[in-house]
Amino acid sequence: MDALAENEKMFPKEIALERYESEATVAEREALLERIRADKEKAFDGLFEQYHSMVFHLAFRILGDREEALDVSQEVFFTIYRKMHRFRGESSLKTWIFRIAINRASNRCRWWNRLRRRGTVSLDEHLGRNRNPDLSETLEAEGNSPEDALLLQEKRSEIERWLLRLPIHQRIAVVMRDVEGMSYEDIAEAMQVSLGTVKSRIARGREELKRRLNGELG
Amino acid sequence: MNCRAVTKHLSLLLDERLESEFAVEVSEHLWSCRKCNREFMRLSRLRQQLHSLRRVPAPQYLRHLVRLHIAEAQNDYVVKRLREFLELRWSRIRTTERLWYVARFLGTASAFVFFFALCSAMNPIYIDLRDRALERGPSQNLRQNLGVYVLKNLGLVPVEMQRKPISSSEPMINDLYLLKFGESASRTGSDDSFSVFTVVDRSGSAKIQNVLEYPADSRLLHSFNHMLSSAQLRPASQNGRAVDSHLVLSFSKICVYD
Repeated sequence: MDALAENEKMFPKEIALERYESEATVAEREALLERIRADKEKAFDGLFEQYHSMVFHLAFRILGDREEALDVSQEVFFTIYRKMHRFRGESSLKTWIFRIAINRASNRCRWWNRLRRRGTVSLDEHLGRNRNPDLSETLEAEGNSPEDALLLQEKRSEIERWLLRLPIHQRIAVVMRDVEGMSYEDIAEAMQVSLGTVKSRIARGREELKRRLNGELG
Repeated sequence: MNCRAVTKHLSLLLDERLESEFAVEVSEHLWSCRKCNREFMRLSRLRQQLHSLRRVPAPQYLRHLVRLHIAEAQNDYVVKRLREFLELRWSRIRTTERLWYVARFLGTASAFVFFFALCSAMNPIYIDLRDRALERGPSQNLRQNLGVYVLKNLGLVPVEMQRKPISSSEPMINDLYLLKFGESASRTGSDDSFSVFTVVDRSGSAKIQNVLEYPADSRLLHSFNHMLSSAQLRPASQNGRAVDSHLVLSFSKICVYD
C-alpha cells in the first residue's frame, strides 16, 4: 500500500498530540493575555505576523477571489483586534482564528448567493469581470519542461475550479483537511459542528471532486 | 465485506480514522478487489493534488489595510464603547433571572406611566372654581381628587361616581297670569278655595290633570282653567333641558268687608 505509506509521510499521526494540545491551549491563552496586558498593539502585530498568510489563503480557497479574500481577511483581523482579550482558551488559538475566518467567509458567500437569487449580480459574473491573472500564476514554472508546467497548471486550475463548485460547507471541510492539514477535531471545533458531520462533509466533498475530476486522477 | 460498504469508508481509511480491526478488514478487501483499490488510489491522488495546490501569498499591503480599518473604528471609539457597554449590560440582564424580571417590571411600569401621561394630556384636569375646597389651594384640591382623576383616566371610575350632580329647576308660572286671574275672581261672594294638579309639558303648556279640591263656585274653576290653557309657563328643567313636570296649584279666596 504505497498510497498509505505516502499518506503517513504527509500527515503524521495526530492522536498522540491531542493530550498535549489541550494543555497547550491553556498556556497559549495565558501567554496571549500576558502579551495583551503588556502591549496590545505588539501582541496584535505578533498574531498578524503569525497568521495573516494562513487566514488569507483559507479565505482565498473558500471564496476563489483575491479581492474577496482580502476583504474577508481585513474583517477577520479587525475582529481579532477587538476580541483577542476575550480568547478563553477552549480551543487552540489557530482554531479560534480559523473559526472567525470561516464565519466571515461563509457570510460573504451567503451574501453573494442572495445577490444572485435577486438576479442582481452573480459571483461568477463578478469573478469573471474582475479577475486579473496574478503574476505568480503566469510566471510559475514547475515541472521538467514547459509542457509539463502547462499540464500541471491546467490540472491545478481544474481542481481549483471544481473545488469552488462544491457546496460551501463541503468546500470548507475539504480545504481545511486536505489543503491546511488540520485534524478532524480542530475542523469540528472551527466549524462548530460534530465530528460525524465533519467526516461526512469531507467524504462527500472528496467523492464529488473525484467524480468531477475523473480523467485527471487516472 | 462488499465493495459498497468499503467505498463508503475509503475517505476515513485514508485519514486513518477507522477502528483498527475494521481498518484491517477494509485493507484486506482492497488487496483483493482491484476496483476498490483503484478508487482508493484515485482518492489518494486527489488528496495529494489538493495538498500541492500552491499557497497564495497575502499581499504586502494587507497589514496597512487592517491598520486603517482599526484606526477608522477607533475614531468612533466613544460610540462603540457605549454600545459595547450597553450590549454587555443587556446580556447580563438577560442572563440573570432576577435582573431580567426587574427590567421587565420597570419597562412595563414605564410604558404604563407613558400612556397614562398621554391620556392625561388629552383629558386635562379642570378645577371647579365653585368648589370651596379651592380655598385651601389648587395643589391640595388636586391631591384630594387625584385618586378619582387617576381612575377616571384609566376608565375605571365606578358608575355611581361618574354621575354628576343634577341641576334642576321647577316649573314656574308668571305672576301676571295669577294677578289677572285674581282680579277676575274678585267679586262679591263667599270665601272659596280650590286645588288642582297640573301637568306642565316641556313646551310650557299647562293642563289641569286632576282637581284635588273643588270650589263651591264652579265658575271659578272654569275661569282658572281658561287662564291656565292660555298661559305660557316656564317648564321644569334638568341639566339645562326642559322636561315634563307637575304643578300643584292652590287658590284661596278670602272676602274682606269694610
